[in-house]
Amino acid sequence: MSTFEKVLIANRGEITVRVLRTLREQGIRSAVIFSEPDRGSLPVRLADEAYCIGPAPSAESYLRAQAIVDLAREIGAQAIHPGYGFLSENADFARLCREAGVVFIGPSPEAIEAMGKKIESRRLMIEAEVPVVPGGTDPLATAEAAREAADEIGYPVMLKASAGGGGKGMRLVSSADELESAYRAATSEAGASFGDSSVYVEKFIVNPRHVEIQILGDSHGTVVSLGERECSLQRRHQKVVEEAPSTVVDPDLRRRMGEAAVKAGQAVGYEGAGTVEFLLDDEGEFYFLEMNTRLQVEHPVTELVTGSDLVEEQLRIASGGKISERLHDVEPVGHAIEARLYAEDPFHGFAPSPGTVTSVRWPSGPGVRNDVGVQSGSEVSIHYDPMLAKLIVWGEDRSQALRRLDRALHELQIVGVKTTAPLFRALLSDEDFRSANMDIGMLDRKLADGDLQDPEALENPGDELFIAAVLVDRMGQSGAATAPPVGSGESLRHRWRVVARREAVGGSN
Amino acid sequence: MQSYVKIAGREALVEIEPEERAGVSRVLVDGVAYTVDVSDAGSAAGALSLLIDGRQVEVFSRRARSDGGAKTYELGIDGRQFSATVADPLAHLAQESDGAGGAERVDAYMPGRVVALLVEEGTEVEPGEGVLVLEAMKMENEIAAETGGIVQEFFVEVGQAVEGGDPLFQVAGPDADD
Repeated sequence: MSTFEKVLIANRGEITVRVLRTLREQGIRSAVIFSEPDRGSLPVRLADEAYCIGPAPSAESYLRAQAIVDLAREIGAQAIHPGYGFLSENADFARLCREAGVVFIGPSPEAIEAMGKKIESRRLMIEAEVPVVPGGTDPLATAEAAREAADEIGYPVMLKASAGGGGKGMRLVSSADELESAYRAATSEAGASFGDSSVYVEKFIVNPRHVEIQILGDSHGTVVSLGERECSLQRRHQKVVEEAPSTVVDPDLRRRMGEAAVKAGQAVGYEGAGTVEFLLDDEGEFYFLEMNTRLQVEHPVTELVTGSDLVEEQLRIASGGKISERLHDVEPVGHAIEARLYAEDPFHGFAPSPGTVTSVRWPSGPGVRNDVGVQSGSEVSIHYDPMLAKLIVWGEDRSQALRRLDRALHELQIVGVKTTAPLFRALLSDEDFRSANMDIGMLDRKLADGDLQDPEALENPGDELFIAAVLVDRMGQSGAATAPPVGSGESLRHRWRVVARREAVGGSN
Repeated sequence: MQSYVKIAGREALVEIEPEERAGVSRVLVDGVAYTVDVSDAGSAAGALSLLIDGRQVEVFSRRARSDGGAKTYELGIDGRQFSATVADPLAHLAQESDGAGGAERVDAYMPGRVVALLVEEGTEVEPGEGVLVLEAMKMENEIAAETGGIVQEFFVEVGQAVEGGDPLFQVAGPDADD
């Protein structure tokens, strides 16, 4: 049972709607912030209270840490939920909350900081006996030192620049005899790119999967694992489709990864919801990648297979309560898949597609859950992440979940912006995706090779499409409710008023 | 009523005969006849429900732009989106006599600023080859024509700010003879 009376959500879009829903179920009054263009957005429309926090740019609105804390105090909110992104992993913001006597729904500033630094978190994990990618971040002064380190780790290894990233100063070394020339090339490239030629070496994990563990920690010293999520379907390191459980994690591996994740959480005295990310190789070995000290986008798949409400757990934990008994030693039931719907055109380089969502029909029915951030009429702005919604399905097994996802995509209808929905339809026809045969590079490879067919690039459009086009055209001439053309100057609100009047007078609905 | 309709790579002549009874018409697509029942009732979004010889097709739509007598619509059918251009016979004739058969006009898909024109007017480009660079959302986006052809005209200049939907350039299809 939470003791908060009012919680301020310091975010926007889909996650704000998500948090609002649990607040209402818990009888907690909700307050949200919004930037000027978000005034009419769905989360504002669902909130009990809403306050303008600034103009469009995030730096002038959603990232104004002090102003947000001041607002919470001013309106009498006992706690702030930071969502994901924005200030959710900002230790200074967590500190400001603490100093102002406002509860930050999340871990301590110290835990956020410890896990936010690559070298520091790796050191903590080694101390906690959590497996990490073999290697070390100490620079190797000579090719011999590099060779020794590489021999000990075992090939293949990756040489990496200490002073920067972006692929510069990086060399993959598959065997000992390649090492010396790779070392020379890496150090010289690092020197040229960053002014610092230091390189270090770590094990290169071939075609790994990204498998992460959801943990919860409370202030009574309990840390539990809620099992894994399979997040290998990524485009340029951005997750696109996530699922739970992972088809390659058996109960024993789940137990071992869970124990490692719990140890990671305990190492920083973690409170709240967090995620420990691992790379899993094809021999069942896993290595710590990083920890995310916030609620993640893909949390719903865990909720569906464990029957939990992670936002509710966060609220209870933040007000001093304990993790639900039920969630100690929970095993996944069934299979959940989440597809992230972004306003992007997946077959044209994922070009952003801002604009107005003129109409949307969300799928529903058995096993379908939509976590939405928009409704008909919502503006998709160029200022923020273009996430529209998460389409999430649950089935008794993965096969049923796939059939549900396909069915849901048939029902989903969004007009006004392009979306990533066609990508999911293409994936559902892809043999590797259907058999869960994935690694973190797979989607990028398939997109680069043109292996995923654009289902809308028609070979031979059927006659019914041509019939539809002329009838739409004819109805448009007689004033039916198609949205006005972009740039026509005609306001959408005017068109909707005309339609409403016509329907009120004579339309059968 | 006759229209020339283009969807993906196919163009067809579509004729709607006068209604037999309210909401029901005979429609011919390249001479093949269908009986079509149309309703826009029951949808606040104005989505049409078509019964084509008994087969049900639900169509969501949005008009993307007009070019004289040719209108382009975005249709949403069965969870998919298609772009369809409908031209009345005069507009179609005008396009053909201009030698602009298969002309594609490319508009800005979001607000931004034109930072570079990559080719000159009159140059032939491959499908997907970059024609101009639009800076938007802190990134440079290369804009290409989907169909290849000759870059007939630029409607913008370097340095110009554009809104979503503003015309950028026009490319004429490789065959001016239709």
